[in-house]
Amino acid sequence: MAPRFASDEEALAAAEEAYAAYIAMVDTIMGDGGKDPERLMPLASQELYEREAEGFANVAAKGIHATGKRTFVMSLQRFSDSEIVAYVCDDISQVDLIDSEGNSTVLPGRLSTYEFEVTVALADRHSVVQSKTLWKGDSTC
Amino acid sequence: MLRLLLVAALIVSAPTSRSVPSACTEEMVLSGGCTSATVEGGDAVLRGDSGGPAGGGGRGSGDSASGSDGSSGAGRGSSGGGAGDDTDGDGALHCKGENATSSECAWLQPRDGYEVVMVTMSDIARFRPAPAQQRMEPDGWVVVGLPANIYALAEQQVVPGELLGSPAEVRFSPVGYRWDYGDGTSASLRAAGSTWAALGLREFDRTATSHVYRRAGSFTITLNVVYRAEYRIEQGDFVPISGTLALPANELHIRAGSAKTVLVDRDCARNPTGPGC
Repeated sequence: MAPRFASDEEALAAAEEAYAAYIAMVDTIMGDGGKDPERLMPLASQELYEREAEGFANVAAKGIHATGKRTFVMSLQRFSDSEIVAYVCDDISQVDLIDSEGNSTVLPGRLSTYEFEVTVALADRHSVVQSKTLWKGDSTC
Repeated sequence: MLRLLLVAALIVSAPTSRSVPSACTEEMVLSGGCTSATVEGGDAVLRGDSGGPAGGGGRGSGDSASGSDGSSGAGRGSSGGGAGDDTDGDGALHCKGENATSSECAWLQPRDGYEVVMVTMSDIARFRPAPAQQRMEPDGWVVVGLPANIYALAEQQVVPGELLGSPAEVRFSPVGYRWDYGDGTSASLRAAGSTWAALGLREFDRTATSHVYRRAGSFTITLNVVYRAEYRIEQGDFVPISGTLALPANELHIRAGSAKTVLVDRDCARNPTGPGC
């Protein structure tokens, strides 16, 4: 049976597609003040969704919402026929969290980029972001 | 029975990786409550980190394995961490206040009424983890042109002490490995590596942390293990501290020799997967 991906580039492209859909939905939900978090379910694993749902609930409880969109740069770590693991640099410099009066609620020490290790689980029809963990080692962002 | 065998082609090993997970939600990231590490300059001593979560912490070298045969997948190098120009201090946030827990404090606003203090690498300088070790195979010698499997033995450690006037623990987690091979090349890797046997590889296979010496001679291999640190006070939650610190491991003194043959400890009948078989 032929491997799912013929090259690193193909695997990376598949991971980018899945992650782009995931992060776009995160930004949308955050922009909506944490409302309707279940929109993330088709794009994330159950565990990841449940973790993020808590964050969305916090956003809703505080009455804050996000403005702006993040960008990301992904680089491949490894892949198999069932999953792709990649490093992701999220650039959140254009994203703000504001309260109902328009004041930023972001802590002063926030960075503009954060690096994560992301695992994309591959399925026949669509892929989901299995896990996303903050990379605490040397950042390459 | 010992036998001399010609070494045939090398098999490129599958990369391995080490993950340092941290559960930060997207909300915490956007709030600024997730601390990311910055890279120090590379001195081989334990020292305080004057760099903040967004400011200092010097830039690391951007090359993952300069001049080496380092890994193709896992061993990406360092290029510095923090961006921005934080002037509000550095380190992790720790809150004092009734009903405040460390995890809550991670993203509480100072204006929420809690006293926020910053814990930095300098504050934990007295918490010193036991030195890591490096090993290699073959032990103490290498064949010019063939991979030497150099790997680190470094584990997470919890060191007790006192912080902010209270009993505390600092947890050190290895997150990076800076090797200087003594031949003018170095590598900054995320992988610690392991023995060929543990990796399921054959002797002289390439690994994520192997190195190929290109000339004969005597060399000293030095390793600095880069740690991330977290602290907790009185059995609270562990709170990450911004920055990293580099600690030296033992040195390896090796000899690299040219050889067209390699001595192995079993022949191909007994060890069909050995080098050259």
